[in-house]
Amino acid sequence: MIIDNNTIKKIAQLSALDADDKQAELLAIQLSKILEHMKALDEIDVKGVEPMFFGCDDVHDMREDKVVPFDHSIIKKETRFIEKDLYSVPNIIEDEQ
Amino acid sequence: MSFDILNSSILALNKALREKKISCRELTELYLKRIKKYKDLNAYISVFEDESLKRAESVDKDGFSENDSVLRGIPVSLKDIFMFKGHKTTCASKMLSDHVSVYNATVTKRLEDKGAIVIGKNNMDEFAMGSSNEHSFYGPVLNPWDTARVAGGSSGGSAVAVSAGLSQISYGTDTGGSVRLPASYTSICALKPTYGRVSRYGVVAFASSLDQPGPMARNVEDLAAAFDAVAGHDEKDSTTSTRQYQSILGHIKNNVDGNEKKFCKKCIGIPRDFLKEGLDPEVLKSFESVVSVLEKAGFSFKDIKLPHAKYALDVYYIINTAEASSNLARYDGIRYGFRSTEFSDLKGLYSSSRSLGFGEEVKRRIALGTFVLSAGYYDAYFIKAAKVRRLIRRDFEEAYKTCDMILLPTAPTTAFKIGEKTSDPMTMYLSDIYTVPVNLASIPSLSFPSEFGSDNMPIGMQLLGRHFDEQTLFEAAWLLQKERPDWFNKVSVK
Repeated sequence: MIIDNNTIKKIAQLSALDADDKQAELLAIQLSKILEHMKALDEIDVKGVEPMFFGCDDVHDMREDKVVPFDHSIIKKETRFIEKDLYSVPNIIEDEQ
Repeated sequence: MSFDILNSSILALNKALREKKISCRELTELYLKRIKKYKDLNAYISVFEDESLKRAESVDKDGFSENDSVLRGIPVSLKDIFMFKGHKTTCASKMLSDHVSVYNATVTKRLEDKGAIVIGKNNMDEFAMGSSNEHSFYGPVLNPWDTARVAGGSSGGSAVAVSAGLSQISYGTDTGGSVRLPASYTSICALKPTYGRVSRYGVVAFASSLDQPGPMARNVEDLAAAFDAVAGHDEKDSTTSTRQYQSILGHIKNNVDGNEKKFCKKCIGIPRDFLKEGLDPEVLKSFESVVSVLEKAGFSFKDIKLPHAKYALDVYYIINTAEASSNLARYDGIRYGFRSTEFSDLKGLYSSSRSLGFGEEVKRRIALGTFVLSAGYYDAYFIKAAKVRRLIRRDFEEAYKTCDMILLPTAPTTAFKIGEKTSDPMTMYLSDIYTVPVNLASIPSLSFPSEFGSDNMPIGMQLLGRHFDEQTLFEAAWLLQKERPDWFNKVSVK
């Protein structure tokens, strides 16, 4: 297999996903099969080829940067985890003993 | 009311509405009734019954003026990926199952401004990731031609809504074939526009260099009207082109209709080398039928080469997953979206919310995308894929020096059985073999229905064009529709 369980666990950590042993094993099998198919790209010589990252070559048309009023209270209705107008999360810094 | 709505084009409906042969309320009611009748197809995630009827009544009250859009008073549906202010936009994910849009997508706004009636939002593959519409938090969409089969994805709900007569037109998004595949599986038309032709503002991002909204319809003129309504530059999406957009429906009606022979002289390229592996013989047979019809109409054909097209699937699944892993990093359970209660610290909140909020296919793609972008693999996978993408695009540019369009099947097979491919992602991905090169090269493609296979399931073909030359594709599709009206305007359920 191209990817083993340990690599999957590292990827899971990087992408903030949980993966127990059983899930990691299944994912390793599936991703290895996909990556095996992708080996076909090895036969192409891409020396001197410029990578293509964007969908269009047109120069992007940038609009004027101006402030547009927006009612922020609407956005805050998107979660119930708000206290004193701030988003609540678990402690980030441990309490001093 | 005796007006045959389901066999009427938007133009015919517009005429009937203006002449008061039918009211907008009656038209909207009919679609709402059909949505209820065929709810088991699972084409809709949300339906706006009361609101649609109110809007319809308002159209009836205010009437029509000379310059009104042909979409005024026409019931349309949107894939549940387009923001619609005050309405849920779930992306068919548990992650966004409670998310209410706080603004309108440009597509939504343009439709509302034109007086179209948005009657509901369609089911889809979660975050537009899928070829079958089996990966939805709300369950699979069923194919109305055979409910044991998939509808195609990821815009399967939109395709079924149009095919089953549950909306006049619909809008989906196409990242690697997501409007064309379900269109092919359900016997309707769909357009994947040139990248930059339709605004992505307010469309939940999947793979930003590939995503493009596209219309779906039962006939060519409806598809043109639907495209006209949303195409063109948008200052809120800097990747939209500033090139001027001219009405395609106007071009068809004013220039092409009645002068067909003048537009039948174009050359269509056929990449024979690409029509081999995995292609169902019945699809190939139907492909040859389409060639005969177009040849009879006056088009010429030429064999062309797309030497790197066979690598497109691998390139696509590296690039789309890489971009998806980055785009979906925003879902952390903090400001919006699903938040898990099973955590002990901040990192746990992130990973638990994401693990419980995303479905299996989404997590698989995030994992693959993270892998191809990770240290030690970035050059070998992501950069290599981006370079081969350039070669794929060059192949098309080279081909278009000798032809005006390219003909390909839309899918290698007809719609497969539900559950047939879900356990093997690579087999599922192979369904996209003929659609992904289009997205990688950023070119337009119009998928249209052709014949049915021996399994009584629809087959679809696609015409690929030069950048920003959707007009030529519509001219050819219009001529095809004139030659073979029996292939178009099919409603899958009575």
